[in-house]
Amino acid sequence: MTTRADVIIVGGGITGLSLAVELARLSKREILVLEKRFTGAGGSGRNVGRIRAMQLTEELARFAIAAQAKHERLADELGANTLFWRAGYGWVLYEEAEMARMAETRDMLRGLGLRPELIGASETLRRLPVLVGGEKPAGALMHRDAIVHHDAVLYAYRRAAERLGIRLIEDCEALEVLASGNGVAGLRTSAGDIKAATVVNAAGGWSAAFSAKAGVRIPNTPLRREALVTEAAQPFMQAAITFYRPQEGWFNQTLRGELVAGCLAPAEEPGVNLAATARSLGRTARTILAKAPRLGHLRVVRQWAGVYDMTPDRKPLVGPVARLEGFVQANGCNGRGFLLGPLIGELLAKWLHGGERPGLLAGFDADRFEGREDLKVEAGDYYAGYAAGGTRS
Amino acid sequence: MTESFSAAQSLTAAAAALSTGRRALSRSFRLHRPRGAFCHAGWCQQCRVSLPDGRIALACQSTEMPRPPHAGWRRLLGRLAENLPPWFYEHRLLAPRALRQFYLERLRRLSATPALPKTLPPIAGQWRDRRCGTLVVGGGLAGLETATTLREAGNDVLLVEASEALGGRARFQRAHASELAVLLQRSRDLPQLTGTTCLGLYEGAREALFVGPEGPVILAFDELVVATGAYDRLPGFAGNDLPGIIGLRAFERLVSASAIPKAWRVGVFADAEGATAALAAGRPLAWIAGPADLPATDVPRFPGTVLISAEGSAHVTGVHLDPVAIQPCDLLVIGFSQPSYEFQMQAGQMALLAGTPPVVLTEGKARIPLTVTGEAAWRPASSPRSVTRLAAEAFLCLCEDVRRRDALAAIAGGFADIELLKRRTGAGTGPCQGKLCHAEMLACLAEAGRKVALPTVRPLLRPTSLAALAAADK
Repeated sequence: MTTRADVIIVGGGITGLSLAVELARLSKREILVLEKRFTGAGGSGRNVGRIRAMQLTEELARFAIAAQAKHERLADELGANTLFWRAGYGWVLYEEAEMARMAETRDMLRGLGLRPELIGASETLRRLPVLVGGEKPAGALMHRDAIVHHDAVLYAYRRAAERLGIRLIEDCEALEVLASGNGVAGLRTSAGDIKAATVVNAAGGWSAAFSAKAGVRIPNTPLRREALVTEAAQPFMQAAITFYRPQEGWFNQTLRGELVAGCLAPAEEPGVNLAATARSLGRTARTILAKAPRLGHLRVVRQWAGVYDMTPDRKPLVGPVARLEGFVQANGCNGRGFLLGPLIGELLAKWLHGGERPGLLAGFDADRFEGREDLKVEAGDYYAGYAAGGTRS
Repeated sequence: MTESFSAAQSLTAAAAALSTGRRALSRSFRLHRPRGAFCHAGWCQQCRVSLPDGRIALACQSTEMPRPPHAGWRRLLGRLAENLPPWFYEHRLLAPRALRQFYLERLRRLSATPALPKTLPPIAGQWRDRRCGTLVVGGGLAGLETATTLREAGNDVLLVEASEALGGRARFQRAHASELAVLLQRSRDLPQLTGTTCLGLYEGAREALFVGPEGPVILAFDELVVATGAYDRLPGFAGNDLPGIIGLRAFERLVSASAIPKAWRVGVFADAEGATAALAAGRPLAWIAGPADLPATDVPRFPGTVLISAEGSAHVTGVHLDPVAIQPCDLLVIGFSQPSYEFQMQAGQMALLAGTPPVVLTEGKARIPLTVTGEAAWRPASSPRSVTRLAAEAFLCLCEDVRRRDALAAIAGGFADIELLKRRTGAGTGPCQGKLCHAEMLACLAEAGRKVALPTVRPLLRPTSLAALAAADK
């Protein structure tokens, strides 16, 4: 076991691995990635790789567009195919009020250079025929959004990290951030102490708990989300589908041909809980089949739970913390971690290397909840979470 | 005429196809190889077919004759893919850049999966809650005996059986007929749900989810008795995916249904226990081969042999044994047991690997009061000598077309943890959810000197349609 490093990154998911790879490219450093279980044991291995540029607020959309472009470059940067697939995306609307709201969103996204289309009911059924026979939609916001294969991305990073001499230590838990004076001195782990001047919290759903081990409180809240996957079938749909009425649900067919699907649990208790529930099977099946009844033929082979790292304003926390020099946040992605991780890694590496904060990270200050650590994450309605441009507190 | 008609009516489509000489029923996911039912009992998922009206079904669980599988250019495609590992795309399909999306959109059309039916499936039934003191999963001899005894002692017992009929393996074993009849008589008043499949344990293994004729049931219980029997173990020898290779328990079913063509030569490769059971099935055998302690019989026997490979292209035509010459057969029965382990894992026990060929066993403390009985509690006799020659080209995971060499390459490439190996190769993520491949995956890790542990055994233990799960909530 190593006893010192320049940078220790806690969390072997997409954010931690991308930061490690980007840092190693900028200069020669001893970089250590610490993972409690194995690469992708958390959110990075439990998501379905939908990386959507269409976001509800301008600030998030701008960042998401750049993050998606980063994903599109990844195969070349990492030298491995990440199966970046522009399957398309249909945000399907079932109420007239949503149509009005989405017209504004469309205009905002067009202002950022995207070309989303807001289409009516009959055009929605024509372009998304899997919805035929289900509840009649009011319309849909369509965009050429993308899906990646999460394991392909993760393993491309893993191999790049290997080539760059980054030490990835799995099955090792971070127990305590060691401080001396106002700064980080190292990390106590289940395999011994490691000296380091910089410790990065890229622990995803576990980031609030780990931050507390550095004496830095953040209002991040882990929230369980469940998903299921069916056996594979020949292509029956292409664009990924999401809807929010009468309740939130989503589904899409993977490149391999499986259907992946999930829906919001209305009364989910906050906390890290990776146990799948029996009830979610029924809830998801009913929610999805109400919209796309043909899918009922498919047999579910597996279900699982993942964890969202939610923040009160739905924006990530990225950058050094003032209270403890050398302690850096890279978390709070609100269920967008797989989309945002590669870009956060790239920008944060530049910041840590050059000392200057990249402009795109300006809204994601790691200290913005200082003094307001008790802010609650309101987990319910999707639209409300983004009300007033994400500045609600 | 009438008699043969009624016999045909009672056969499953997989058994009926076999009785007419057809062993291949489907094509494999990635390589388009011909595949047939290995288990004839609904768990191996190798006989997934499209019915005439388009619905997807298992031929061993349906009586409707399926459409023949795709052939032609897709088979050719499979041949081209034969030498590519599951992660073949890693350094491919990237140039020229302008074609990247095109490649992916073509790629997704190349698997051998069935098409989604055009019809809308009916949604019926209702989710219900239920509770009991002791839940007994599995209505074979062991489950019936345990449940009935507990019930007679005044316990609050519920027996759940996936098949429509109670009796489990004993239904197909003449030697157990009278014992079963007595038990069925004793258990007449036993609270029971038949035709009801357990999909897994939830809420810290305090609840179980079932799907039965009236919809899903969430059952809360205090104690669990696992009497779910054993699977047939498919070892990693060359040619192990050929149609016409079946498990011992499948053989017993097919014999009792008189589904094996009379003219067929049936070869058996089994351990002593399996060989004894195969002989007891009563169907004439062409030969029996296996370890040195094979039982005495008039059937030509080859004790102390090693199974090198199964021969054939469209289906099995013989086996290559060491040190004897190739033995022809039309049906190859593989007689090794893999006790079922999913409930024990979900209840918190740990996996270990034991026996020859190695099988997954469970041990250690469970989170709930747990009793394992019958074949689920079976332990292999220790035998130092391997009985099959492990072949690089043998299939480890049939659902995902993963070979032993793919797993070994992944392990050598650093994916040396069971969770990483599963994700890297896809082994264990297909419809059978690891029942055919977990033991072989662990064997590969053990050969490479790596830790033996099972991946999380996630629900659902049996594939279940979204329509069945979409039953109304109460």
